Amino acid sequence: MMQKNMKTNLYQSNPFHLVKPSPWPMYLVFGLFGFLLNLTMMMHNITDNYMMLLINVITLIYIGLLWSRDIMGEATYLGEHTSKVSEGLNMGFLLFLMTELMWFFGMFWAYFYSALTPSVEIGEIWPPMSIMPMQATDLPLFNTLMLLMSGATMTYSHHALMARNRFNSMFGLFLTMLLGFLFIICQYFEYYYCSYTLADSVYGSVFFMLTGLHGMHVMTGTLLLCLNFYRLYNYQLTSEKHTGFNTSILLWHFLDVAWLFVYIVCYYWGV
Amino acid sequence: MLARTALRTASTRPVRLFSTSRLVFSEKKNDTPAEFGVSHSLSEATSPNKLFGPGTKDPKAQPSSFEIATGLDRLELLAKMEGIELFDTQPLVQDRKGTPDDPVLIDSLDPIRYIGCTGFPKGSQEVNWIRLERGKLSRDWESGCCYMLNYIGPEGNASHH
Repeated sequence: MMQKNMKTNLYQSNPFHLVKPSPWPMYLVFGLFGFLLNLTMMMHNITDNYMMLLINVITLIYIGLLWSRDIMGEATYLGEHTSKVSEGLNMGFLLFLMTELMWFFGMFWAYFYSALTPSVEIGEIWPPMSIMPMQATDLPLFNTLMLLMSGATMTYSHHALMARNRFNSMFGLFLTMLLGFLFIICQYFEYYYCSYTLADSVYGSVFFMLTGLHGMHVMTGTLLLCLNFYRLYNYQLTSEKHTGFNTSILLWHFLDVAWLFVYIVCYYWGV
Repeated sequence: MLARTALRTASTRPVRLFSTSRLVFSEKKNDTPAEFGVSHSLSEATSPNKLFGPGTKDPKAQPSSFEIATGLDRLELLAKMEGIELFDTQPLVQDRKGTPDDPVLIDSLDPIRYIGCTGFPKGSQEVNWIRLERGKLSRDWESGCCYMLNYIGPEGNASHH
């Protein structure tokens, strides 16, 4: 790979971005370690100190923002993201989505394993004996509608961006963020008024694992949308090139589809 | 006392918030150094300092890449607008078998380039990696294909490697 048509050594001759040493991967790993340690300790009743977990979450988000700031600088102000680099970033994100897909696949496997041949310990029925499952036509249906709508507003925002319509793009993205936020709030209330917990038989475990995994990703997705809103507001995303925006859209639609499966399996079929 | 002094020092320095866009919105708008410039075409992009866009005219429209792209990204875009593929990312074409008298010429920006030979016709053998050097004939030991480096990089750069 080389620069064929510029006989000069003013510019680098390859299209790749050779990144400089960055502290963020290491800091992020430390942050994640603390977060998981505290989460596990809390779930096993070793500690009930929510404060440490809160600090961990704030640290993680802060490191994420600093890392994103560096990437934004490299993309917008230094112009390091050539089409080859964008291609690589996009491919990396697609691979990440594949790992997510496998994660969901594993969790669904656990669900079907327990649901299709319920063991004798849970009364050989699904949902297990004396579990009162949630009403599928209640809040979960509302959540489904909101996520599907957010997919539509996301597309609206994307098309407006490609047509260089700044206001419509920002408005669509704002609506998507709002719907994502509302989804998280509704999930919170759903969990709050739920009659069973993570520790109530295998049903509670797989249910909260699946919906919780999805909910966590919606939170991350909403954060990504906020970042994109910031970039859109600051004229950083162009009508032709918006790799970060594209990958966020991919994640959001992935979550849409994953939720449809979660809804059908966990709320509608499995009760 | 120390804290107050530190705070005062910090407050007089330019604040670098979430990204440098704060500086763009600050009042110091016209202090761009003279060597920085805008390039509308490849001929205007004479140095890395000239790889900036003219900026967006309509604040109500989202900018296009031509308006705000910078750096190598801009250079690639400007080249593309003139129909030039700046970075040659395609595999080498092997349309004939190079002989010692008439080797296949391989363009290179560097005095040294590695190529992978799969024989002729292509794919007739496993890849053999060959190191080409400027002014030296290289021959694949399996298929006998001959290659020669065609240096197209800037002059005066040849002794670096």
